[in-house]
This record gives sequence, structure tokens and C-alpha cells, in this order.
Amino acid sequence: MKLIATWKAALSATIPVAGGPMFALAEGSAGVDSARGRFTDLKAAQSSVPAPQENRPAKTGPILSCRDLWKVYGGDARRVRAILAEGSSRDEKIARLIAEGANPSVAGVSLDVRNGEILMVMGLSGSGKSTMVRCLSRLIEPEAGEVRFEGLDLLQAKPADLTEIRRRKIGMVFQNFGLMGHLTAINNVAFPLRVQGLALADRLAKARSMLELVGLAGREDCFPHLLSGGQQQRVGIARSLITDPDLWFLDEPFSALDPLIRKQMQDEFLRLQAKLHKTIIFVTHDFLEAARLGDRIAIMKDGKIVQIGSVLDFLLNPADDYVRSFVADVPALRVVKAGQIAVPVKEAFTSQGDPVVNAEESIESTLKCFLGGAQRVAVRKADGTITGIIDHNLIKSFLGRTNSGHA
Amino acid sequence: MLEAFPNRQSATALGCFAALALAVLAVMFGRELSWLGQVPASFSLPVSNWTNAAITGFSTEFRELFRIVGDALNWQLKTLQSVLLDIPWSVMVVVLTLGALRIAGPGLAALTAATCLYIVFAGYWKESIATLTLVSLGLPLACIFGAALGILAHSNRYVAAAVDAVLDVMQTVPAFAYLTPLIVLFGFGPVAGLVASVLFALPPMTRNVKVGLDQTPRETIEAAEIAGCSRLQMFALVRLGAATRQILMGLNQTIMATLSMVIFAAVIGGFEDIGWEVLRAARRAEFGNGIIAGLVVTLLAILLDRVSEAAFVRERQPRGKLSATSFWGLTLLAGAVVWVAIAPLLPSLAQLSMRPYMAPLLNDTLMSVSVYLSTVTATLKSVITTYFLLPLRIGLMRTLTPAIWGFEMSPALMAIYVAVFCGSALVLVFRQQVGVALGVLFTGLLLYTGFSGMPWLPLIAGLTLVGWWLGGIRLAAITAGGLLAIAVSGFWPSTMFSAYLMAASIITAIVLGGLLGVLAAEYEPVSRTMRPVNDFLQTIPPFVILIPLIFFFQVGDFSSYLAIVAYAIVPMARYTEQGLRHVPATQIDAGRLAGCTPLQMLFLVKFPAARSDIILGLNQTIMAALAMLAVAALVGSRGLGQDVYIALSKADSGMGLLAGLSIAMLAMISDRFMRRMAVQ
Repeated sequence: MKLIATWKAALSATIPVAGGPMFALAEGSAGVDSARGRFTDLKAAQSSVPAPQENRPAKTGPILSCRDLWKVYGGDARRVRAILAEGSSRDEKIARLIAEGANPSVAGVSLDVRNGEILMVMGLSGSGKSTMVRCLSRLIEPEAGEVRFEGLDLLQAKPADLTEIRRRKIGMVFQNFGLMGHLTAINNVAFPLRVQGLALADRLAKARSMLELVGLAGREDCFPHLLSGGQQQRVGIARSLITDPDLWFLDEPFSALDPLIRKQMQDEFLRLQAKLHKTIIFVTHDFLEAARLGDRIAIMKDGKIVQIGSVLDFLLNPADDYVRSFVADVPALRVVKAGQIAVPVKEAFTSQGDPVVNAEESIESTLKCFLGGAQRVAVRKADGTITGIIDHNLIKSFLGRTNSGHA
Repeated sequence: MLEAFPNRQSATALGCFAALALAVLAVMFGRELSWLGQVPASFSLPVSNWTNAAITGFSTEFRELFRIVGDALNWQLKTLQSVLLDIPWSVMVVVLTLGALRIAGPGLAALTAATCLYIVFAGYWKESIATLTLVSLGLPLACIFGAALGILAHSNRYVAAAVDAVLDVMQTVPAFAYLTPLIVLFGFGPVAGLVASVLFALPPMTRNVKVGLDQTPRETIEAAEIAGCSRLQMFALVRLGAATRQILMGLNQTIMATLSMVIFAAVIGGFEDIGWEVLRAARRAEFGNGIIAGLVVTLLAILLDRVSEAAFVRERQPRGKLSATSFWGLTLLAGAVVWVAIAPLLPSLAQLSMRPYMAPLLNDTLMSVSVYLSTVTATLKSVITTYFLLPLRIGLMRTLTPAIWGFEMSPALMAIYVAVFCGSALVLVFRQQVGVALGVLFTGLLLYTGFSGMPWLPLIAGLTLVGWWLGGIRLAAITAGGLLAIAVSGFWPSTMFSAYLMAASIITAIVLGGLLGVLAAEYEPVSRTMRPVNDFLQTIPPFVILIPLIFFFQVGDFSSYLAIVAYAIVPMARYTEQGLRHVPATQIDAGRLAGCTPLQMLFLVKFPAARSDIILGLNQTIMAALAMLAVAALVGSRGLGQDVYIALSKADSGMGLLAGLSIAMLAMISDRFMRRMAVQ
């Protein structure tokens, strides 16, 4: 905190900070252009190299998408369906439903989840995030809308097909673990295979390796109540992954855990995902968790998605006061990673004596370099190639546009 | 009409004042307004005859069916009994003790061995085997039917509501009441008792199965759904597994209920079981035998309860080195060895029985104790009867005579009496405590007339009004309907007699139980001593409590009263202690900082905070007292309990059922009143 304050003071003493929107990646304003321009010059100075690579594996189209999804509690079922079938706007429908004494828990949500991405669904309790996620797997039957999973309309699927999809392609982790108290850890993990009718030896062998993967080797024969919360959730994670699902739902998986354990489990989650590359829908009420783990974040309020985008979008362009209040106390310097704001450069770019930071590190750590007198910082990917550059102006305008001063 | 009153409360108050006035009128002009005072003869209908006709019609219609079922059960009983009797007692002792050792540890194994040996030396081996035969045949039936009902209730909301209502009635109707129609259906003999035991023991199984299945955590269900469970898999692999603990708890309760009812059903006779021995001893006033047999029943009950609790309810513990199969194999081997090698060497059961020597000795000892204590017991009995029971039963207007209290209710005394009650009621009204004022007036009237002289119509009207105030139109309808139904079927006088017995026992249980609860909450040693006594009173079949009571206080109202108090005091003490112990520490600190004296702390801080717990305890106390009512009739009180009992001996199932239903009706109404009061 102190570090940042000193740095800002030093900055404002030497360079007058402009009042206007200098920094806006999304808007493409002058500040960025100038930065780009300088980088372009830099690039031109280098010999021509192949285009910069994406950080993540190439993404194809959406694996899961829903359109105008509604879940309404209470009210007369027929009247509710009639209202939803009308052509009126979403807000009109909501008003009419409430007038009927019904409670729209998920209100006209449309969403695409790309293959291999981690979508974080955020909101306060009661905002409909858990309900929405349960509608996507049809644990809860929505009143209206369409859910397409790998091209198949889940809401129209026959029970047998749905069972088959759940058995092979969907895994889910629950806030309170949802373990079966009468089964040992290994039998809990093997449960989905038991349901599929796999032979005992096969499923135990597989479950054992899953437990090893989540770091619970040796605890196979413990009953859940003998395990700590973190260990129970590891069992839950192992169970949800044992069928090697394509789509992985996590419903506030770490909310019931102590802060320290939560941090551990988040690391564990990132480690697993680096290995497995699942498509993930992750529900949380913790913005830091969302920023830390997610590729994109969707914030829900009263059953609607109010904004969806990257961490930067939320920090720089909050859609409304609700979102603003959500991110108000977020330490932007810590949740935004260097790789997320760096201006990309061509491959084979060398740092030329500039300090180098890792792409996954927070912006906060680059500040140290600037404090040390550097004019710009090179950003390096895990494999060691330099992929981007952050310069003095970029960081200054970032600080001006976010609330990092509060941090 | 209603707009004239600002709210329901004042309407109720006015109505109650009117009912009280009517009651006073009815008492003053007893002769002119007799229809207001007593249920007119023309008002009652031959409901019990109709019920009898219906049951007889039913039994003739399905005679074959009942005969086949009855024969089958009878055959099983006889076979099982002869198999169990063929096993030498020494083999039984060894196998049971080893089994208890495995299931419940060395302490209970020792208790098992001691119980078995006691039974052998008491000379009640055959009788105990007969009882165990009934239990081991009744238990699986109760479990199967109970679990099936529970599963049905779990799967369908409407079935659940119906099952719930039926179980409520089954658990409040005294078991004696459905013995009678069962005798009509199955004939006199052990089968009717067995079926009654199954019916009596089935509700806890049903309730626990349903609760266990219903309470599977939502996320567990969802996890199973995501895993792709079919409906059958969901039930068998998930819900049943999650419900196991709850179901095993139900099993423990079912075992105890079966045993308790098997002991009761001995009243029918015909199977020579241990319950029958207790009853016979009590009837012949052979107290030595009675105590010896009663101790057998008590030991059996405690043993079954503790062992089944250890087996089903407690946390699983590691069980030593031997695997289950090898352990049971070795146990059977040991049994076989004993059978072949040791059993033939031992003297026969008849030779071992010490009863011929023990019973007379015990009898004589007890006699001398009882004679020695007779002045104390007689004084206690006559004081409580004269100054507490009689005024409640027949009122001051009949107890204040030279023959009973030594002086008469003179006009001057009457004036003072009326002045005291009316005066305090007036003061209370001016202090805005209308409810309390009504209570005072009602108490005054009740003390004057007693339960037997209480005018019936004003009483029903008043209770209905209170029901309306507490629970709206529904509770009012239940109250009025239930009480009028009792009156119509001709059980009003019995009901009033039972009400007197209940009121007396419940007041005593509340005062004593409350006191014990307070003491236990304040002083740890009291709590520690009270706990095993309470456990004991709740475990032993209520039947057994009667034996020492008859011995010291003879047959009559007073013994019934004591029996009911002994049974009903437990929940009051337990809930009071629990409520007082759970008062939040912050409230106590606040009271202490405000400078409360210990008594102020108790009355101003702890009692109000423990209110809902105490009311729950009160409710349980009333239920326990009602349950004991029919049992206590065995030692000779009048009222509904005795009606049930008489019906049993006359095989008048209409009368038995209706008297039993009247008790259930009272239980239901007071239960609803209490629940509402706990909420308000």
C-alpha cells in the first residue's frame, strides 16, 4: 500500500496527470494509440518476426450456450408460462411476473461459454447465480429458454439422453461438498462409475488415481466426516473429475472453507486446470477469486447478467453502479496481471536491459521496477519468451482509471 | 358482530366471561338448568353399538383371511418358541454374551451374562424366552410394514399427509384400545397381542424412514443426479445410504416399542410370557413374585435398549482383530462345544430356580417394610387425597363437609370465597391482565365444583373460544367437534374423571419436575444423579412402575395418580433443565450486570428465555400422562382408562375403541393448544 502511495506521489510530482480518459484498451483512445505507436516503432526496429501468439490454446466456438433462459419460482405455473411466451421485453416480463406474485430467479439470461475457458459467475446471494448454473445442467428445470451443449438442446433432451450426457460429459462440485456420508472417500470418488455400472476393481483403481491427483493418497478409506473441509472438497473435486467431463461446474466450491485453505485450493484448482484444460463455469461471490481464476467474469443481479467480460473491463468500464460497488474495493494493482495490460510485441523481442516480469504476476510487482527507475518493463510468458511491454505512460493511465489508490 | 370488537383477543375475553357466567348459573340452578350442567341422556347416541356392528360385519366378511393370517402367525410363534426352548440355557448365555461383547463391549457383555443368570435363577427362563419369541417375530414385521409405509410416505405428498394423521392417532390412542378389536378379528390369544405389538411398534420405524429419506442433503442428491443416477439408483445407492443412521435409530425405538407392547399384550393371556407373570403376580398380590418378574422385564428392557443402541446408534468403532465371519464362527463353535460338553452336566432349569425360596422371603420382608412404613404411606395417601385429589374431583362444594374436612361450607365462608376470587379478578382486570383474571375465575369455579360438577356446555364453549383465539377457526372447530363427539358417544363423565386424574398428576409433575429441572440446571450433582433415574424411568415398560405402587399404596386413585406422575415427571424435568441450561450467556451476563439476585435471575431472566423449551416439556408431560392413563387403570382408577380396560375384558371393541379415541382426542386438542402457546 505504502509503496503505491509513494510511487503515485512521486509520479504526480514529476509528470502532470491528465484528467481525461488516457487509458482505455477497449476504447482505443489516444493514450493507447501512442503507446502502440511506440511499440510499433520498436517492432519495426526489430527484424520482422511471426505474429504474436495467443496466451491460451486456440478457442473454437461456444461449447455451451443458453438463450433467454428463465427460472421462475412461485405464481401460477400456467400464467407464468403464458407471460414468458409473450413477445414483450425482458423488463416488462419481469414486472408482470412480480405482479403475479411470482419470483423470477433467473431472468432471460443469454450466455456463451467457449471451449476451454473459465467463466466466473458472480453475484450476491440471491442473485440467481447458483440457480442459473443448475438450469444449465438441468438440475433445475427452467421455465423457458434454450440451453445448447455441443449442439444438442439440453432442455428438449430425452431423460435417457440427459442421463447419458451427465454421466459422460458433465462434472459438478458443490459448496457444501455434497458427499455421501455413508461412503468412504474412495467410494465417493468412484460413485459416478458405480452408477455407470463399471466393474469394482476398475472403478477403485481409477478412483485411487483421482485421489492421488488431488493429493489425498492414503485417505481412501476415511469417511467424509473424518476429513477436514478442504479434504472433503478435494474428494468432491476428484469425484466430479473421475468421468473426465468436458464441462465442469463449480458452485462456490471454496466458499465454505477457511481463507488460508481457500487460497490453497485455488492454487490446486489452477494446477489441475493447467493439466486438464476443462471448460469451466465457476460460481463465486468473491471478486478476487473470480479475478484470480477466471478468463471472463459475468456479474449477476436479480437474475440478470449485468456485465460480462474480463477483469479489466470491470475495472475500467463498470456497466453500472452495482458493478462499480462490486469492484470498488478491489485492489486493481493486485488482481490485474501484467500480461493482461501489456502491449503485445512480436516474438523474439528482447528486453534490451529493461526489467522483466512474468505475465502471471500482478501489476503491483511491476511497480517495483518503475520505482527502481525503469522507464518500461518487459513481460515474459511462462516459456520465457517476451510477449509484451508495459511502459511508464501505460501504468500511469491505468492507475488514473482504476481505484488502485484505495488499495 | 365482530366489528364491535377491536380484536380477537377482546372477543375471546368477553366470550369467556359469558361462558363463566353461564357456568355459575348452571351451578346455582343445578336442577332447573340440568341440561347445561350434565350431558342430557337424550343427547347421547349409541355410537359404540354402531362401531361394534361395523367391526363384527368386517370380521365376518373377512373371517377366512384373518383366520389364515392368524394361523400362520400362531404356527410361527409356536415353532420359534420351541426352537428357542430346545437350546440349552447355558448355550444361550454363552452365545448372547459373546455377541454382546462383540457388539457393545465388555460392560454390556457383563450385563448380558448377569441378566441371563438372573433369569435362570429367578426361574423365569421359559417365560422370558416366550417374550423374546414374541419380540423377535413382531420386530421384523413392524420393521417391514413400518419401512414400507415410510417409503410410501416419502414418495408421495398426499400419502405422507394421510400416514402422518394415522400415525398421530395410533400413537395417542392407548394400545389397550386396539387390542379389543384385534381380539374380535384374531380371537383370544397371543396372535392378537402380536399384531397389536406390530401396530404399536410400526410408527417409529415409519417416521424415521421417512425423515431419513426426506433429509438427504440437496447437494448430495444433485451430485448423484450429475453422476447420472437412475431413479432406482438414486433410491438404493443415495437416499437409503444417507438415511441409514436415522433408520437404525428408528430400529432401536421399534425394538423398545415392540417389547413394551408385548409386555402389555400379556393382558390377553395365553402365552405364559413374562408380562403375564408380572400381571398374575400383581393380581394375586404375590409381591415377591411380582418384584422378581418385574426385575426380569426391567433388565430385559435395559439390555435390549443399550445393546441395540450400541449396535445401531453409536459411532462405529474398530472392532478388534478378528474379522466378523471368524468371530461369529468361533462364537457358534463355542456354543456347540458348550451344548455338547457342558450343558448335559448342568442341573435343569427347575432345579436351578431359586424362586420357591426367594419369593416368600421377599414377600415377607416387603410385608414387614410395608407395615413398618404403613403410617407414613397411609398419612401421605390420606392427606394428598383429602386436600388435593378430592377437591379437584368433586369440588369444595362436596368436600367441605364435616365428614371430610371437618367443617362445613357456611354462607359466610362461601361469601369470603366468592369475594376473594372475584376481588382478585377485578384487580387483575383493572391492571389490564384480563387473561389472568379469567384464569383466576375459572380456578375458583373449578375448585368449587370439581371436575365432576363442571358444567359441560359452558366448558366446551370456553375451550372452543380459547382455541379460536390461539389457532383460529380450525382449532376452534377441532376443539368443539372433538369434545362434542366425546359427549355424544356417552363418555363425558369418564372424560371428566380422566381430566381430574390428569390435572392432578400433571400439576404435580409440573411442580416437582420443574423443581427438579431447576435444581439440576443449577447444581451439577443433581443433574448427574437425575440422568440415570430418568433413563431408567423412560426405558422400563410403564407396567412395571405399578408393582411397587400397589404394594405400598394399594389399588385405587392414589396409585394411578402416582404412576402417572412417575411417568410424566421425566419430560418436565428434562426440558426444564435443558431450557435453563441453554439460556444465552450474554443474557445471563446482562442480568448479572443489572444486579439480579439469584431468584430474580431465575424468574426474570432464565424462565422467560427458556419459555418455549418449558412449554415443549409441558406438552410432552401431558402426552406422557395421557399415555399412562390407560395403564394406570390397571391399578383401579375410573375414567377413560378403565373404560378401555373394561371393554377389553368384555371384548366390547366399540366401547374400547371409542374410549381410546376419546383419549386420543384429548391428546390432540391439548397438543395443538400447547404448540400454539409455545409459538405466541
